[in-house]
Amino acid sequence: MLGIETGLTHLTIGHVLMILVGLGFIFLAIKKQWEPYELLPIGAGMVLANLPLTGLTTQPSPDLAPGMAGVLGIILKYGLYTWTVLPQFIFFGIGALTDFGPLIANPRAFLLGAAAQIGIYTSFAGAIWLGFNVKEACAIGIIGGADGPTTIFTTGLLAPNILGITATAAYSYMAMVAIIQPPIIRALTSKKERQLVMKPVLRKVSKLEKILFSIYAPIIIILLIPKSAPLVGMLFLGNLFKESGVVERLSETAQNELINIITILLMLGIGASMPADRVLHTQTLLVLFLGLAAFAVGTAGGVVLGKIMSWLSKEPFNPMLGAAGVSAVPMSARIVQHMGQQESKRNYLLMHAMGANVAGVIGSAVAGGYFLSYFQKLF
Amino acid sequence: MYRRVVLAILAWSSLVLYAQDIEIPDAAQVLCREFFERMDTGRFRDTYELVSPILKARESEAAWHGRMRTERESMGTLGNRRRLSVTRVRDFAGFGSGDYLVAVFETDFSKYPDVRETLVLESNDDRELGVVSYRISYDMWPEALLIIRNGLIIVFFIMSLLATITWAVGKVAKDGDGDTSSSKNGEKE
Repeated sequence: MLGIETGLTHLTIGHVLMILVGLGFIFLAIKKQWEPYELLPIGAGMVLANLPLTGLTTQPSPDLAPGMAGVLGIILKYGLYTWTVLPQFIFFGIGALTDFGPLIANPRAFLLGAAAQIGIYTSFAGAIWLGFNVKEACAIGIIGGADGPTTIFTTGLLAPNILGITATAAYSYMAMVAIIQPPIIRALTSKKERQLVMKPVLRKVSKLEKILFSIYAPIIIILLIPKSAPLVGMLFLGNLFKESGVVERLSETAQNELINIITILLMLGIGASMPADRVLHTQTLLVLFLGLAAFAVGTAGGVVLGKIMSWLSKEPFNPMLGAAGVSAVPMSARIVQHMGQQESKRNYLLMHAMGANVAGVIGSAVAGGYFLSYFQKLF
Repeated sequence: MYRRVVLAILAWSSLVLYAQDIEIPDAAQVLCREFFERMDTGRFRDTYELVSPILKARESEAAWHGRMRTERESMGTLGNRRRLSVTRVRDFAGFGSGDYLVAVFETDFSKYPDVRETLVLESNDDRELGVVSYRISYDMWPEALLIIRNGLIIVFFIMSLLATITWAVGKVAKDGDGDTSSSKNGEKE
């Protein structure tokens, strides 16, 4: 009648469901302000990708006539699936934003960052048990690191078929840190342990120490796990820009304009990677469940090591700090600070928790790099 | 009662006979060969051309390509492939009733020897064949446990190493500060 083919005749129940989910994300971002920088563009990407006949998600290929690829398809292909450049640039921006001072001042926090990665391996085992293949299990497990860019990078290379759902799970659980972590922390610690007051001030870390850290840390990690270089290398490059103090404009750009642009592209791409045919499976529910389990076990792993360190430590050591070992920066650290304050007004745990929190960022990048290195030997 | 037992035995034997291996039809053989040739040469996207219309209606080319790549890519090059069985079934999980051929192969890949490949073909009303499923299965637990063990070791090792080096660097820096301040104090004195 209109002389064109409308999308209405091609609209399936699956499309409608996914459009509603996308609108739900937009609602949560605007109304509840849940991770709005992530959920708003993800939701928008989901809506656009599930409108029929738009061609927006058509990926460039040699068989395709010039101009026929869609903008979301271009983001997906070059940003996420084939070249996976976007998560690496996000890590660059995160590096420029991160202060490793609390970690350098209290190196014990490295161990908390390691313990919180236990969730990754537990969930990995769960995924194998539920019938996922090994690469998919790695991608699902890495959700437990609570690190969006690492999850995206690892999944994009190992199991692109579940990219959208693992990335959304990672960011959703990061948004729900305040709901997921406190009950686990309470269940694993006594009131007396939570009331332990630590020295509020960490030692002052010199500029030289910070610069040296952003040089030797990536060299050590990358020498041991070469495939972690895209994430670890970019993280510490951004940090070197910040700590050196000699490229202030570049550091400012990495912290603001660059990370904002990359966030738009990355989150739109994540949303666009969730067309109905990829997401509406029972598999998706399993991924969401395993991701949640990974996050919960990671938190528990950190707290348990925190308790052990508390028993062994001569000075008071609050075991709640272990929960900040997941790399949901700075939400986990804030939760620990908040819970510490609830138990005792004299308890200022934020800086200690930030140390564990940034250790978690390094820990999850190491875990993701290990998965990639393992499969690299197979290609 | 006697009649019921006989009927039950007949029904059971017909099921057994039905599920027994059958000779693979020529068209199915050609399709399997074509599918595996594309998979083995890394042309995962091209296998979508061999997919049944009922699967195409629910899974896009990009989604299929991603799944096939994840499934096959790390297996390595083909060593040997041997057909184990071909059965005809009337119902296949998630696809409803129809006419399906389930072909199971025993395969040695360079990186993973001794795996099972299961290829399910669907024959539509026009007797045309198309692929509806492809899965590689093997005992994943030995590999999974290896990944878990080595992964945990390497994460804890690297983080402990970084903790030790950072502590040592911090100690040197603190001592350096102490020396500087004490020498400054000395100068004042």
